Amino acid sequence: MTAEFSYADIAVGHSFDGVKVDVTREMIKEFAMASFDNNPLHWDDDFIAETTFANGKKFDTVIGHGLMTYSFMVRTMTDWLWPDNGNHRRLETRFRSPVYPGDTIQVRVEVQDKRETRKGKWLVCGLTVTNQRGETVSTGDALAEILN
Amino acid sequence: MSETSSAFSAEDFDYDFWKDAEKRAGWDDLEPGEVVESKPVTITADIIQRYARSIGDMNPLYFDEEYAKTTRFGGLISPPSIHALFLFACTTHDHFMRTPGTVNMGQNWWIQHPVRPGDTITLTARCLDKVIRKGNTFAIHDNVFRNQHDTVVCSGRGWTMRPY
Repeated sequence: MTAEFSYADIAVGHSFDGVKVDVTREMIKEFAMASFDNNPLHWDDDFIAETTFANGKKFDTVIGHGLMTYSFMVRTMTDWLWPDNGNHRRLETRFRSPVYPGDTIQVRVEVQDKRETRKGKWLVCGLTVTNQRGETVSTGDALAEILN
Repeated sequence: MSETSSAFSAEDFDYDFWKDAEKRAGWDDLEPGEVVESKPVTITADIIQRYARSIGDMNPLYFDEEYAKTTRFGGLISPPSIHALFLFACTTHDHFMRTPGTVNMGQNWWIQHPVRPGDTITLTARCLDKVIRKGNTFAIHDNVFRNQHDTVVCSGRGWTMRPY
């Protein structure tokens, strides 16, 4: 593990693009199998066609799991932090719009604040996930702990 | 299901969420604060690696034990989002998370320790609160994940929109 950064090196406002994924039906199905969430929302077009929510909204097609998007957000944090003596400690998300097969989604991270507590050094990060139309599909608040 | 820690495999899991769907609690039946039935799950490197592959995360910390031993983690770990699978693997088939049409609206997890192959994870799961907003019904979930040493590895909340 090289190129370690330290807490002092990271400026508030630092931002970068993270994981970018072309979402497919096959990927959603594989996630359903691997995460044991086989809800028909993720594979059954007939169920989607007949499902209308109380507020009148419908999905266009089967949707990706919210937790699949969550996993891409966490992966962006671990890809960034683990090689550099940091740990992903918390992520709070809102899944704002559905992710559909055929979408390309990308995670973006911005360091919004820094805080030293009695025993730790923390980066407060804001995450956004956008699709190819520029729509925000998910937002998140993360905490990264920097070990040096 | 036995409380002994035999390794969990996908063959143990019933993927048919329509089966016995009518037996699951609807929004009216959910009792905030009541802990629901769950069962311990011993996770294998195979299950962890299948999950990692499904999200395209080929980090050698999940796959290469010799490499992982040389890192500060001292051995294989799992992606911190692995708790997604414990929500289902540790709960029973009549748990309301499996109701067809359940939509995940948001999730927050605090990660205290990595989950490692061979760990036996126990989930304390409950509905914590119920909400009606813009005509839709929602449940707030509260989940605490412990390992075989009774150490909390992850804790957090989620909220789902309920189909009924």
